[in-house]
Formats: sequence, structure tokens, C-alpha cells
Amino acid sequence: MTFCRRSDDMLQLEKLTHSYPSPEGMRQVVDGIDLTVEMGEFVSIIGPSGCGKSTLFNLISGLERPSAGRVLIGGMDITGCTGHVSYMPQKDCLFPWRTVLENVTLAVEVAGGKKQDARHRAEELFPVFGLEGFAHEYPARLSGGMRQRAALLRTVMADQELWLLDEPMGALDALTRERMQDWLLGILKRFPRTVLFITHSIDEAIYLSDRVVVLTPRPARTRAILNVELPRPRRREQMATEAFLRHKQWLWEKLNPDM
Amino acid sequence: MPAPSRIAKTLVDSWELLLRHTGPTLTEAALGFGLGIGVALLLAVGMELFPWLRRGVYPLLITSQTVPVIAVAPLLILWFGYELLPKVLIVALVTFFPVVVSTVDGLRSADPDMVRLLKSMGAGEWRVFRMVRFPHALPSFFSGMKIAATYGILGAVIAEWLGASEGLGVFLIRSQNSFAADQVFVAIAVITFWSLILFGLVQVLARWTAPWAYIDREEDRRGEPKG
Repeated sequence: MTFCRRSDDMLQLEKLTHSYPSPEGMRQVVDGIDLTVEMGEFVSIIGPSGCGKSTLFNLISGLERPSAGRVLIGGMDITGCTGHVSYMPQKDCLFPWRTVLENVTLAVEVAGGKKQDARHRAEELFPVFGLEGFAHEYPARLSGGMRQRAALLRTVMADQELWLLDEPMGALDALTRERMQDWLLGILKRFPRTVLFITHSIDEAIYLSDRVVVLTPRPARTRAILNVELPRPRRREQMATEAFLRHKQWLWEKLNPDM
Repeated sequence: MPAPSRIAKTLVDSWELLLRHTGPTLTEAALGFGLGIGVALLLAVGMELFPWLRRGVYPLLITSQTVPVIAVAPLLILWFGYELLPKVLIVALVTFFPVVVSTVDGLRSADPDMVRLLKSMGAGEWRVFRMVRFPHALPSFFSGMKIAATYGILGAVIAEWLGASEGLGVFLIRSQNSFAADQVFVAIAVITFWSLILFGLVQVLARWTAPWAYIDREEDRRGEPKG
């Protein structure tokens, strides 16, 4: 029997385990991950390539059902159910056949909400996302940074408490990326949400997060968790502070235990 | 070999006759093309939505295309007579195949990440089909349709060779039988003209239905806004 209980825990992963069938038998990808994320927290997940980070997101978003373990959001068991999180893939995944406005209201349409209301709300946000005047353009006319911001607006418009961001800035050049990081923090201040963020960059993880989870190579287990002790609001100058560098070295050692 | 000036003169002289023969050919081509495209679209969508249909029908489709139309046409004429129907069927047969193949490819090659994104929002298979697979397949569908457009008039002409009382095919055969090379050239010109028109119509339809596929990515992309 399950019952809802009130808690500040936004997301709970309980002994999450997943295996795929492969030619050499079952291949384990995720091995007993326990994680609790509080409401409003920004948690980054960092780990070697191919360690199963994306599988983890598939499990949380309900795209795949785990072999064992549970996913709870706000105390409710949503294991294997879609439609409870707002997921932003690495590619912007804007549909080329929809205008920017139609793209950002996609989730509302899927959820069966009022399209007209969603459009009004989205149009109000276009200036905040630097997309003013582009509502009725096709995505092919947008630059890389604008496409990424449109994808984030789509994530905001989905109106979910939990965001799963899968390397959303991996494809951007270094300068655009820095600007996008600061801009993302600004957006989160305006629309407070709980964020789970996959990244390959140690700097990015520390700069953005409250906590950083380090995963082991496949099968993914939790190797270590870092509490980032940097005051908010974050500023670029903090990247040169002693605390930041100490965090950086600690994470680097956890990621490369054999060196 | 007739001189171009002579062909032009023949064109003017036999204008009335040509018009009379062009009508039936265009009717056959248009009806057959419409039928072929319609069936092709239904079949492609059906094969995408129902895997069992795909497994059963797709191999048959490929095999059927190895049978030359010229061999099937006499059968159709035996069964359906010398009227409009067998010719429409022949045109449908030649135009339908490129459309099925390209549409099926288009439906299958939808971006899996877009599908995942939509599913994560709680969308089911039907919605994924409507919102991602189908629009993604439209440009491929139109590519197939352009190939089919060039076959359409040709199919009608071949059908007429095998048994008809009027049409450009009949005009061609009669010109050949009376050794009138100039008339043959006139017929070729007319067939080419209408094939180009049909192709152009498909092009217009494609640009109207799928305008996003024709955005010049390099030229038109705008930069970041200031600030």
C-alpha cells in the first residue's frame, strides 16, 4: 500500500537499478543509486562518459522502467510514469515544422491544457528569454544560443517542479556557454525550480550547483557527493577563490581515482 | 530528321488535333497520379502504425516492382476493357511505388531524441506519430511525389499504346505509322511540357505544405540580438 506523505524532498531515488539485455547476457547500467533532492536544490551529476547518466534520466523521466528500485516525486511513486518532470535533452530538439511559439507550448498541448492561455503566457516571457520578435519564426532561423534559450523556455512552460537538464550546454562554444550559465541562474531565480543537471564540466558543476554527485564508471553507482560551499548569488569571480579550487581538486580526484 | 522550324509549323497546324488527344491523357495521368499517391500515403502510414502490415506487405511491394508494367498492362486491359479505368490503374501503379518507399523511409527516420522528449511529456504513440513522425516524413513524401510526377504522363502514354482510341499515346503511334517524324517530335514536346507542369505543381504544393523545409539555413539565419 502506498500513501502520500508531505515532505520537502522533491525527488527520491530508492535503490534504483537497471540492466539491459545484451549479447553477453544482462548488462547492468545503473546499480543501486540512492539520492534525495530537496525542493529548490540544484544538483549536478558528473561521471565518466557512458557511465549511465542518460539512462538515469530515462528512469527518472519514466521513459524506461527500472529493473528494481523506485522513483518518488513529492512523495508520490512515479516509477515508469511519464509526464511528471520537465526534461531538456542535450540537443535543443526544437521541432523544425513548428514555430518557436508552437515549440515552447508543446508540453501544454500534450498535457491537454488550454493552448490559448499557454501562448499568452509564453509571449510574455519571450523578451526575458531574448526571443522577442521570433515567436512566429521557424527554429531554422535562430542562432545556436537562441535555440538553446527557446528549449529552456519550453522547459519552463512545461510547468513541472522538477527539471532534468541533460548537458544542455554541451554543444555551445565556451563564451556562449558562460553567458548561458549566468543566464540560467538568473532564470532559476525568477522561476525557482528543483534541477538535476548532467554535465561533463567540473567548473560548470561547481559554479551552478548546491551539490555535485560523482558517479562511478558503468555500472553507475554514487561514488561521492560534494556540498558546494559558495554563497549565492554566484559570480564569475568566485571561480578564482580558494574554496572553488579546493572543490575542483576534490572532484577531479574523485573522477580520476587511479591517477 | 525534321528541322525545328518544321516541327514548330506542325505544332501550329495540328493544334486542334493535339488538344483533342491531350485531354484524355491528362485526365488519365491526373486521376492515376491522385489514386497512386493516395494509396501510397495510406499504405505508408499503415505500415508505420502496424508492424505486422509492414512485415506482410513491404516485401510484396518490392517484388511487385520487379514485374514490368508493360507486362501487367495487357492484363488490366483484358479485365477492364479499353475505357479510362485500366489506364488510370497503370498510372497509379507506376507512380505509387516511389511515394511509398520514400514516405516509409521518412517516417522511420524521425529523430529519436524528439520522440523521447515528446514521450517524456506524457505523449503516446499516436501523438508521437502526428507531431513528429508525420511532419518529419513530409519532405521525403514530396521527394517521392516529384519522381512520381515525372512518371505520370509517361505511364498514361504507355497505357494508351496498348489499347485506346484517343490520347497522346495514340497520336504517337499514328504518327509513327505514317512516318511523320515531325509529329512524333511535337508529341514529345507536349509530353515533356505537361510532365514539367505536373512536377512544378508538386513543387508548389511541397513549399506550401512544408515551408520550414525550404529555409535557407546559412543565408537567413539571424544573429544574436544585442545586449
